[in-house]
Amino acid sequence: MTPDQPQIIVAGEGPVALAILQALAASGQVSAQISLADPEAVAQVAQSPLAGLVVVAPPPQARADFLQIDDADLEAGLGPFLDLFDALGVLSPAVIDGGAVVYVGHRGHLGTWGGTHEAAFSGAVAGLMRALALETMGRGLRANVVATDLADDQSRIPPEIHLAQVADLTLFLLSPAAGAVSGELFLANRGASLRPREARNRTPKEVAQ
Amino acid sequence: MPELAPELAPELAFVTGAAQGIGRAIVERLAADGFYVLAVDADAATLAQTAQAWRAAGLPVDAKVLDCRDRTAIRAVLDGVDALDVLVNNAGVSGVLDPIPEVDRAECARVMEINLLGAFKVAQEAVRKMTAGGRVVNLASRGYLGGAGAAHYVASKAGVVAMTRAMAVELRWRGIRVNAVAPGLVGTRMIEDFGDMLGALKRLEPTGDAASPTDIAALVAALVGPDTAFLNGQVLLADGGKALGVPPL
Repeated sequence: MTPDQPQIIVAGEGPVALAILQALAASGQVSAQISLADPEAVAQVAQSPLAGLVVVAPPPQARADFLQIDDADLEAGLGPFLDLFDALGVLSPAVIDGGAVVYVGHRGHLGTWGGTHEAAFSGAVAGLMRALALETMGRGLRANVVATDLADDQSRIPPEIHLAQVADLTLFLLSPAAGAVSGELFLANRGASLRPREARNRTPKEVAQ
Repeated sequence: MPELAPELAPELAFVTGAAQGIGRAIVERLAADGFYVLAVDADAATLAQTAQAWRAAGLPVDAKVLDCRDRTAIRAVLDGVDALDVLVNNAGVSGVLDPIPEVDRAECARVMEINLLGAFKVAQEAVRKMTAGGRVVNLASRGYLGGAGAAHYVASKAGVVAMTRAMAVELRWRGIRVNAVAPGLVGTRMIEDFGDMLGALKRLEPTGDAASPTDIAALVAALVGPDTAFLNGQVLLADGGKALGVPPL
C-alpha cells in the first residue's frame, strides 16, 4: 500500500460489503465505504482517481406473490436502481483506465418464486452493467456482476465461509488477473441455480402421491 | 366485444402500445387470426387515426387510450372485461441515446417506469382476468444483451426479460404461459430517433435492413397460438442472427 494508491470504493452495507472490505484490507488495498443513496458522498469520492468500484445490492425485498406486489414495492425497487444509475454516471469516469466495476447482487434475474419484483430489478441491473461494460471498454474499464443468494444456500457451508468466497471472487474480478473478463455475470451460489430445494420438493414420486 | 355464446366467442387479446409500429402490426395480425382485440396506447391522436383505419377495414378491435404507468387507468380499461385470454405487453420508449454520465435521473426513471414498471402493472392487472390457458407475451429487445449509449433502455428491457422468467415460474401453476420476444432493429418510428446512425445500424444487420413489424407480429402470433403450448419462460431473439456477431468493420 502506498499513500497515493487509488482507492477502491465499496458502496453498500451488510455482511457482504463487510466481507469485501475485510478482504480488501487483508490484501493491502485502500478502500472506503459509501452509500449510493448519499449523492454528496458519491460526488466527494469521485474527486480522486479510483482503482475500482464495488456495489453491493441492498437486501432483497420480502417475497410476495406476483399479484400481491403493489406499487410501493415497485417504487422501493426503482429507487435503489436510480441511485445506482446516478452513481455510475458520477463514479465510472473517476475509475482509472484499466480499472474495474463489480456489482454484487442476487440471482433473481433467473426467475424465482415470489420475487418477480426482485427479478425485474435484478435483471435491469445485469443489463445496466453490460451496457456499462460496452460504454467503457474503450478505456479498458471492465464491468461484471456477481450473483449470489445466501438465503437459498443449500450447501451447508457456514455462511461466513460463503461470504469470504463471494469476497474472494469480487477481488479477483477487480484484479488485473481478470483483465480479459468484462460484461459477464457469475453465479456464486453453490449450485442454488440448480434449484435443489424445489427439485426435492417435487420428485416424481411425490407428485404421484 | 359483441355478446356471443361462449363456444362461439372469439378469444380476447389485450395489446398495449398498439397505435403504431410493432404494436399495430400485432393488433392487425391477431385480429386476422380470429381474436377480438382490446388495443390501447398513450398517444391519443395516433390511436384515433389508427382506430379509424381498423374500423374501415372491419377489424374486431376496441381502441382505448391508456398510459400504462397508471394502475388505476389500467384497471378502468379492464373493468368491463370478464375473461382475458392473451396479453401482449408491447408499450415502450427508447429514451435518449446518450452514455450513462449524460442521462439524468428523470430520463432514466421515465424509461424504467414505462418499459418495466408499466409492463409489470399491466401484466398484473391482465393476469387477474386470466384463467388456465392464458398467454402473456412481453416485448423485450435484443438490446437486453447490452448496448452502448442506451443503458437505461438496455436495463429496462433486461428487466422485462427477468420479469418474464419470474412470471413464468410462478404462473405456470395457474396454467398461464409467459414468454418474451426480443426484436433487433425493426422499421418503426422508434428507430427514426437514431438519425444519422440508422444507415450504419442497418448495414450491421445480417439482412442489411431492419425487420418489418409484421415479422415480429408473426412471432407473437405463434407464441399465443396452439402450436407453442409447451413453450414457457422463453425469450425469442428476433434479430436475424445479429446477436451471434457482426462482420468485421
